[in-house]
Amino acid sequence: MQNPVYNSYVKLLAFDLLSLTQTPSSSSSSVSEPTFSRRGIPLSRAETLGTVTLRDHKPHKFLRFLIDDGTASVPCILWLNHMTSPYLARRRRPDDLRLIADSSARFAAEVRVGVVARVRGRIGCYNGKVQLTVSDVVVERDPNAEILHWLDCINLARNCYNVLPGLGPGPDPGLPPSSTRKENLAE
Amino acid sequence: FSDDSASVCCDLLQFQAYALGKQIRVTAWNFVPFKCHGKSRAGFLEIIKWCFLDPNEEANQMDSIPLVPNRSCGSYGNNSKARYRVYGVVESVGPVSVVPCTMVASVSYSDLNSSSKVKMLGFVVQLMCCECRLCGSKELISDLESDSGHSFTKKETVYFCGGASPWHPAMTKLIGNRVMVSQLKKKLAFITKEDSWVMHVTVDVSVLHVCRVSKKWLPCLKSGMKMKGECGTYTGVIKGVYMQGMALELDHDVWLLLTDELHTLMHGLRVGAVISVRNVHFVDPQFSWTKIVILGACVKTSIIVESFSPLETACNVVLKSQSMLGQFIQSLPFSARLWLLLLVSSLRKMFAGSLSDKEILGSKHEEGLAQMYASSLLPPSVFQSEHGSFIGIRKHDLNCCSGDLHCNILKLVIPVSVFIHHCIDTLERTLKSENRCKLLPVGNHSRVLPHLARYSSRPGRKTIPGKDVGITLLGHLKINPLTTRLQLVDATGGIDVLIPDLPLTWNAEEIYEVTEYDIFVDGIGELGDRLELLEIESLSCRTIFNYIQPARERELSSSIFAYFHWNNAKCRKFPRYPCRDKKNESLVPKPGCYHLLRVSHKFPLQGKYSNIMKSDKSNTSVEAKVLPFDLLLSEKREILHSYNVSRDKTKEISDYLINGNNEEQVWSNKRQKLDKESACASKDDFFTSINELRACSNLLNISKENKRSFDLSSDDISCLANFRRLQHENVICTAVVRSKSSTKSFDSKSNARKVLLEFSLDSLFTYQSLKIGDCYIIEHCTKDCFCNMKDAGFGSRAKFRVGSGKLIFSISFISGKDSVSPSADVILTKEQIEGFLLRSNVDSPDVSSDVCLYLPVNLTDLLDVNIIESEYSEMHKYAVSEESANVSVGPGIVAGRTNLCCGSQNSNFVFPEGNLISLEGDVVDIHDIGSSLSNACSSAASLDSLQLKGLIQNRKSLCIHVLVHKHMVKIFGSISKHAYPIGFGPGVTATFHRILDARSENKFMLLPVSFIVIKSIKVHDKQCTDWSFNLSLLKDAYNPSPDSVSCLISQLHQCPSNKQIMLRCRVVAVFILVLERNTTAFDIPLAGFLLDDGSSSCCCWANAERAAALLRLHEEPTTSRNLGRILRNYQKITVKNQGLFIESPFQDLAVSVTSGNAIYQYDENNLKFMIFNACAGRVWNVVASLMDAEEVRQLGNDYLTETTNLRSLRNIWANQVSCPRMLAEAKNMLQELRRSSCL
Repeated sequence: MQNPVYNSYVKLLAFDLLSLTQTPSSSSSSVSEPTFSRRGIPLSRAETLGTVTLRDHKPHKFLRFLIDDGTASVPCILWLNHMTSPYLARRRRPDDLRLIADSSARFAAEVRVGVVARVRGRIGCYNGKVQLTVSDVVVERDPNAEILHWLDCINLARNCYNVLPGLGPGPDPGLPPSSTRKENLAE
Repeated sequence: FSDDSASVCCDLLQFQAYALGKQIRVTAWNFVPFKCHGKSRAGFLEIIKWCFLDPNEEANQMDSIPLVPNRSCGSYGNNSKARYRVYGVVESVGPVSVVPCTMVASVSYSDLNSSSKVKMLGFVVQLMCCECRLCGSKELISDLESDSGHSFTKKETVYFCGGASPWHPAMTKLIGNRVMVSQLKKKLAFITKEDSWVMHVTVDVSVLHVCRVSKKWLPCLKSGMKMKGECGTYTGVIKGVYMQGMALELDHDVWLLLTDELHTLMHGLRVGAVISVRNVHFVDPQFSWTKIVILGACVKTSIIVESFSPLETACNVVLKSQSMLGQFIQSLPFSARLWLLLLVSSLRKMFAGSLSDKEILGSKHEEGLAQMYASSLLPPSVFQSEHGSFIGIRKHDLNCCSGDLHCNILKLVIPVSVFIHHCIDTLERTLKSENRCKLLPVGNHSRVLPHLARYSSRPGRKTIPGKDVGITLLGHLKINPLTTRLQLVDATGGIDVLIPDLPLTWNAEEIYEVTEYDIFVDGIGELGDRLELLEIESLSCRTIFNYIQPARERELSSSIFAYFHWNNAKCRKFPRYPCRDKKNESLVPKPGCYHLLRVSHKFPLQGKYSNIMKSDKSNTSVEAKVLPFDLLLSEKREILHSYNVSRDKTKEISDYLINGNNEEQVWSNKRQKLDKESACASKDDFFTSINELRACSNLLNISKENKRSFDLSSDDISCLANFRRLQHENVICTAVVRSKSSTKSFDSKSNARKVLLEFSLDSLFTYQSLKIGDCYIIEHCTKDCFCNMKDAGFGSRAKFRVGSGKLIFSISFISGKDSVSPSADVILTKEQIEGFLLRSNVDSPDVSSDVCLYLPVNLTDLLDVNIIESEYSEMHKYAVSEESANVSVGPGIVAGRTNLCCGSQNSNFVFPEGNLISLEGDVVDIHDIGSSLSNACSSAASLDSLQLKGLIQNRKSLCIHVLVHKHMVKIFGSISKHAYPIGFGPGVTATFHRILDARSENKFMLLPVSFIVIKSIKVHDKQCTDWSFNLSLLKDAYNPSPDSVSCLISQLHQCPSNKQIMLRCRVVAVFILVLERNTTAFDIPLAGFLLDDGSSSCCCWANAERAAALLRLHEEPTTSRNLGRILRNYQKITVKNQGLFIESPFQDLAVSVTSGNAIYQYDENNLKFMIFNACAGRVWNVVASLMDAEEVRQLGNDYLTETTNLRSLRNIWANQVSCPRMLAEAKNMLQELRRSSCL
């Protein structure tokens, strides 16, 4: 995998993230997970930052929530079934699973409607739509973190994602309605 | 309670006032016989259940009871003045007291009994009254009872006196009840000359009405008790009665302190009784060592027994204490009072056997040890003057009587054994709280080994700063016969002490008080294994009063020691403590002739003290060089008080000393002595010189002569000696330093002879305090070999026994270098001496020796040269002669060296060659090399072939890592357990004397003759396990170094390699983490992080605080504490990410430890948790430098496993880690973006 972006958590604005190109996995791998790409560049993980606007908690199963970063809302899923999943039980030591389950439970407790959360995860797909499978959640207390994230997204898109030798045109990150943002900054 | 035959003191429950004087039937009772002094004085009847004999009595209870029986209550208005009445709730009852008749006559009773000379008994009752109209009116009591709307706010005082005074116990029972006392007189009582008090006084016709309102009125307690002496009521069960009933423990950690009156009068205060204490002061003493509440009784306090004790406990009968101590105790505020009671209790245990109770407690007219000690600590302001009950109550009302002391100044004194127990318990508690669910190791090897053999594998040393303990150590300094270690002992036990600057002056007879010290406990891991903890607190007032000898510290006491400097050990001199006068005179050297010695080496103690006893031959020896000078001290002395030294006085003294006002007498005594000595005809040089001395009419002539023309060829140099052993005063006398060399001149470079000082058993303490390199004087004696021995060079060394009678004084030389011009080749002028004296008084802490010799400048130089010269030649000769082992040093050492000696004759053995040197440095680590010694030494060529098996027997082989001038040095070897100094371990600064330079890089060998001196111990903070890194670098967030460039990880390949780069990124994974134990807590020598900023990932290597920050150890102190705890068990821990692919959170972490043991699952989980936590952290600003390929390859080979997605990544080394400031970063980035879009 020569693509440096593939294994890193790309910072994309929500509207950008939701409009990734999905291609059903053409490779010979047994799992038929679609791959995602932006401007022809394959991506696997992403980081998003925004306000939690929806929370759907199924104890010991999962927590679904929406992260709204001002451009769109990213659906996220945080799995809480580590102790019950037979799939994981076969592959991981129970102690490790306990640790992971504990930290997931902590993340779930932090995700409350209204907080600004920084979420990292794998890009996946549910019902044909892009969804983040959460690996960790950090609640940001500095309101400027959101602005910095937007700027990061723009900066990365300009200086990194767009300049990489891609395979085809993708959605232009452009400059989403930014007048409000600048007002914030001016404060 | 009485029948026709006799009466008995009694107490009863469900008291009803109208039962007094009636016949009752007692249906349930206890009788407690007094354990009293011989007399068959009955006992104490506790009436549990009773009823009236005549059932009709119940019905026709009388409302009004005349206070004085045999008076009908109907005689209203007999006395026109007795028309007042008081209606209210009984608030407090004062103690019965005797009012002197003069006062009675002048005030209250002038009209009644004006001619009375009798002392009147009486007591004060305070009632809270209602000020409403109804109460003020003269309505019948029944009307009042029906009314419930009263608010009792006004305080009224009724003085029950004369015939009413036996009502005291009844009134006490009535506290809280509504009563009305009528037919009273109103009087103005003068309490002091200034203060008067309006009160009601009972007369013979006064009547008491007890209201039958069942509800008791109690003053409502203020909701927020501040524990600062507020008054209140407390009900509880007596758990223990201590100190003759002066202190009662109620429930748990509530201590009731009784006044003299209460504890002598109350008989029912037995263990198990439920008592209710009214009007008692609540005090939180704020003792640092325990948390308790003190209930302090005062004049207004009364105690009611609510339920008698079902236990068969004796009741205490105490006579009012007459001793000074009793009065002293009563004069203290409550917290100090409890402290003093504890002190008394402790002192009695600590000096049981050596001091009698009378000496500790004192008597009627003399202060005891306890009182002397306490009054020396308490500021005079705390003492409260005792008042009579009248004044007491009055003062109580005016201002709260409990001006309490801040008890931090009061340090607890407890027996040593309790102290050790407490220290260990404290540590165990901390440990237990740290690892609540740690599983015990199954095979604990250390438990099998004998205790002392474990010293090298100690998992950790724990420090308890003495100031946190809040306890003063008090005891004698003694050498433990079993371990030959210095201990602070009392009758209950001893604790090892380490005093690096122990002077020769310490006296085993004195009581020393140490307030500032630190406690070190070694082998705490072993303690941690015993987690079966007692639930009771180790240090509570109960344990101190009871003093239950804790069983288990006997075996542990050798692993705990106290460390302090000598100036922190205060010698407590108690006037009545049997004073050792003979010691006092030995504080100052007697006039006479002394040899000058310089200790060149101390041989370690061999074998147990008990073995030494059996062999009757001491094998504690010290090698010393006899300097070619003798010191003659004159008899003429002047005492100089250091605290009031003035220039004039000094001048006067120096005048006196130099000019010799009284020349004829100065040396007369000396001469007689010398005459005697000359009788033993000796041809020795020394005696010749003494005879010459005799020939001189007096010594001061010489000094005068010298003063005129001083040249180096003369024998004598006169100087001033200053004795500083005594406290507060300096003794000064003239002295003469005389050359002993054959040419009898100072300019000849004479060699010092070497002697071996053997110490007898009773002078072991002298051995302990001799220091290598210091100079001493030892009294000349005709029998000793100093004089008889021939100057035979180095081959043979004379042995010389030092018994207890021999006095050795340390000496130091002060030259006139500072004040005398270099050319001054004359004896010191008066001014200079004055200067010295003044200086020596000012800088006395600098000079700790017993004797100070003020020398002319040239002589000091000469002495130095002589000492150094002999040292130098010594060193060379010694190095050569060491292997030939012609040094015979005590049986133990010889035994230890046998192998070496045999070796030199046996050609099969190759012996290490090299010089013996002394080394000083900081001990960083000690580890056991055991049988693998030869493996460990294999790199050193000369050590390689060494077969040390003979030495290793019965000894522990160690490798000591010592930091000497920033170079790490390894010292191999074995130390016998007796030579192992107290407290030796990582963190100490020590000097290693006579270790063998193994002629290989930084490697040395400990020999059986090697001696280790501990200079100091690093005292760590209590929170030493906490991560102590500087947090400022995190606070100071947006302050990147100016030469760093901010960039994305994907742009790293474009960056110039010499520039520092700054990344704003997050931790994705930790692929390697190495943790090591160090002296403070732990260290992170290396950690590898996978960082990601959205553009790409990179490998970031970091150590120390950068690594700690990225691991989020600052944010979670519990994690770092856990880590510190884990590392106490393992020397080094490595965590590797073994997954083929690094992905959070499913990282495949493998934890390995170097100590050989498997890591506990619990510890492993803790480590993994820490790493997971690090991977879900915030955004960091990392200032880093790019690593070149070679560095990366090196690190990668050592630490990286085959993780596929790491090899291709860029590697950076973190130089600084901080938190980004979001707003500032955003502003910067916006500008950046604007600029770039403009382009």
